[in-house]
Amino acid sequence: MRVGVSILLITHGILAVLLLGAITHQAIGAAWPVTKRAPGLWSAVRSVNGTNYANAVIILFLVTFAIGTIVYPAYRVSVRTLLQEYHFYKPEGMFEMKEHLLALSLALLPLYWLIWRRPSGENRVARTAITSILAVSVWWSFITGHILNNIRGFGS
Amino acid sequence: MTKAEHLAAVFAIAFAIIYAPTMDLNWTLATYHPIQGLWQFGKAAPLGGGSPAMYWYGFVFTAALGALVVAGLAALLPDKFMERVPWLSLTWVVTLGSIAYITYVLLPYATKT
Repeated sequence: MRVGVSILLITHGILAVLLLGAITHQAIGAAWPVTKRAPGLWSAVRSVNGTNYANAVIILFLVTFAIGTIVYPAYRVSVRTLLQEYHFYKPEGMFEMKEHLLALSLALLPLYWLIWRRPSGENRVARTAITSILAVSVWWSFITGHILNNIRGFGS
Repeated sequence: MTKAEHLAAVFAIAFAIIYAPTMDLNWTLATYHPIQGLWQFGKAAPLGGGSPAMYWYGFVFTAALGALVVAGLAALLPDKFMERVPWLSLTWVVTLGSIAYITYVLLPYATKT
């Protein structure tokens, strides 16, 4: 059981890294699009075609989220009790925020998919805002998971 | 906007509006007891013996079910009415409002020592 949870947690982390890369590129490209491609890394990041990322983001989000819901009970039993025992309220609160941000992000996915399928001037602001909300949620969740794994992760 | 985009926006807005008070007031649809591996309908107390009760899954079920009902009702509304409402803007504004509400509810975690 413990080995299974560890494998799932590592997979969860690896998929989160891929998701982080995809959603960050897409959010930057949507928020600061370039009118003319210039040489350099920053210009390359800003000029990505966000449409190409949408399906990958959705699949990565759903699989990472699903694995997260499977390993969540192990956190609740083994990690959160320790956080409470040692009065680590801030990391505990960060995880609470993580689960709520991800639930709200999950509900945004159908609209996110639809507006990235048909990007237009009409939906540009909403597309940028929704993609940015997803990006912030994923970043928050990744950092929180990393901190909690440092507090009580593998082999602790 | 297409009809599917309207309904997806209504779903996200309704989910955000329902979710915030659900997590605050614990209107959970189900409780999971991780040590026993047991699900119970609605809000249930921990079973004892150090076993916690998990409500978050139930929060998601409550908000998703509520949002599905609202989106289903919105599908019955005439297209003319649906086109008058700025659904795209409302979606991210309401979601940000819900995040602000949740942040306020969770503030004690940042201040207590």
